[in-house]
Amino acid sequence: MASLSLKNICKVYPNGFEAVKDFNLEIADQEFIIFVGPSGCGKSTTLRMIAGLEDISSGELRIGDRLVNDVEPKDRDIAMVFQNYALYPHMTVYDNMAFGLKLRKVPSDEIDKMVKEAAKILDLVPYLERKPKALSGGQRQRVAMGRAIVRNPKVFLMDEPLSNLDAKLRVQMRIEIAKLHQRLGTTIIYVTHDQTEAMTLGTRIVVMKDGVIQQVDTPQNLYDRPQNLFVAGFMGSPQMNFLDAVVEIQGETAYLKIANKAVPLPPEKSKKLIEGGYDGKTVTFGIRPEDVYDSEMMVEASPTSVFEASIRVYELLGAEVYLYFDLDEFPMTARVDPRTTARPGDVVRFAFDTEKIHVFDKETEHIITN
Amino acid sequence: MNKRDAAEKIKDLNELTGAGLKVESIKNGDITLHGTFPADVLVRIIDEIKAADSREGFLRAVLEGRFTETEIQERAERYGFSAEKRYAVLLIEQSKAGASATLLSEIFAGDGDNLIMPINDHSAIFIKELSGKKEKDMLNKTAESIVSTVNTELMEKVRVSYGRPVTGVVQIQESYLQAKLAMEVAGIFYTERYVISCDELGIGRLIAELPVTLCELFMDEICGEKKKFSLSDDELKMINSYFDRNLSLAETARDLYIHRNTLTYRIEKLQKKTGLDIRNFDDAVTLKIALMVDRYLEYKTANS
Repeated sequence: MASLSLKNICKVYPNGFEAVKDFNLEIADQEFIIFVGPSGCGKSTTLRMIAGLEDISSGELRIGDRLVNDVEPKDRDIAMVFQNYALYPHMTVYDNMAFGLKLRKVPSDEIDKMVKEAAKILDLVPYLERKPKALSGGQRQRVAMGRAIVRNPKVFLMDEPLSNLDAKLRVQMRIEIAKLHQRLGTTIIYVTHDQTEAMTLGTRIVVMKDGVIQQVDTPQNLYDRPQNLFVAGFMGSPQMNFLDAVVEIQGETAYLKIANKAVPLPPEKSKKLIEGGYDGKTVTFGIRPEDVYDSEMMVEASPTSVFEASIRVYELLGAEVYLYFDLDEFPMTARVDPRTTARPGDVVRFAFDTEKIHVFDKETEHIITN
Repeated sequence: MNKRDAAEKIKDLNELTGAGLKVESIKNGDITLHGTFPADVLVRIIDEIKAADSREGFLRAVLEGRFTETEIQERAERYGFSAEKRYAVLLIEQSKAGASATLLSEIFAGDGDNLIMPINDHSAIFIKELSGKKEKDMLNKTAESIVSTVNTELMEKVRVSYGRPVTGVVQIQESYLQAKLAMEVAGIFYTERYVISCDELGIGRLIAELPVTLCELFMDEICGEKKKFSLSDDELKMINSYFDRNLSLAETARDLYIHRNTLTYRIEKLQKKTGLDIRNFDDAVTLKIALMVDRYLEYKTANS
């Protein structure tokens, strides 16, 4: 088991490309931490620097108390699982898991013990004599993980391990990985571009963009209190609704002028806008689809934030319905109860939960109201 | 061959191998020899002949361009290669000596005409038989899979490049040379990539094909006598960020955590230094190419 400390880590390639910029993070022992962000955000490069597969341009990386910047990957006591794993087709499951250890000349009795232990953890004991061809996709993925487990590492590094699996299997394997973390109690660093995977697996999530950490927080905090426009838009599906609004201060209340209407903000949010000197300025207004209501009860209860809009698209997903409409020419989505009677072409009254409104600085894109 | 020519050849052989042979006679093209021959050299020669007379030896000779097209066609069938099958060459380079060829043979060899041959301790060639319509996707997936496997199993850094798919062994050298070029160009310009296709080399390919003298002339024209810009790390960081953000001042200022006016001031300072105003598209292109040519010349000097 081990904690990790990344201080001012940077990665600059000889051609001048800066992949990771001033990355600072403390990872606790046994933590399941997720690096998430769009393609090219530097999450995999950071993981590869932790693995030692990429040189660190500047900064300090410690695993436990040991500075490992110049330590060879094989001496870092880590194991990796990648998305493009390849199993040895002519070997049995047992040999697939043992092969890496054999290459490192580990004594055969030790190999046997390690493989059997890993097989037990992964529920692969009945399949040890089978060849990869005779396994299902999920079982193959478990063998790939078994190859990492047999090393008995202090830290697991996983780079999009489920990306090659179909949607159903991905959900299944997500549960398997969560169980595995509980069983092994090892530190896991997991890279993904899938925000659902990040939200469901991680104890903490690191959101990255353009090589820079945008926010490090628990899944719930990231969702409820995003620090900037990027995090707000990246976490959550369908994504948060954004539209431009002009701030108007009257006394101790801040109003957001949207679609010819002034929506009063709750006292705490108002205070932030007043203190920030936003009177008369244009800001970005954000609200999650589930905080936009079409039910009469909510509309009656929030008379100050009621809008009328014509439904463009109606999407039934079984347990919920997505209603798409435009407000002030900005496309909006509402996640509502499936019993809604709203249909395309209908003019519907919507209400926002003003407590759940997020306001972002238009220029810096930082949150103002959290 | 007459006796005199034969004696010359045997003299060469003696010098190369430490043998002590003499020509006694020559009849019907056969030379009768007398003397001694070192046993270890004899074993080595036999091994070499055996290796050359194998599938691997044949392909090695093809890649090195030692056979003519007709010779390849004649021999290909003997070694079980079809003239219609599609192949591509992947080049695997490890940062340290490792067992990647052994490891990868366990995964890929035995599947069709696939063959993995070590070139030296650091690199190996993978000749892959292709099937199906999506050849390039298959190649890319294989290359990524090689990187993942070497990373996870051997815990070593590795880069894989690949050439275009070709038909029959006759064209395999072409695919190999493309893979080699891709590896070289990526080593100069795209060091952040682990998988490099010969079809994604962009402007790097163009520069890598230019004669050094022409590059020097270009640098002379752009930078003057010094033939080089002396730019600080901060200046390079600003330039790269500006290029990466498609010449957007606002985006670059945000990326560098500086005010837009500060960025404008720095760009103007750079203009005084280089004579190039990167807010102007033509100047931005010139500087981008000049920086790449500079890298290429540095590489050429280091490897000359």
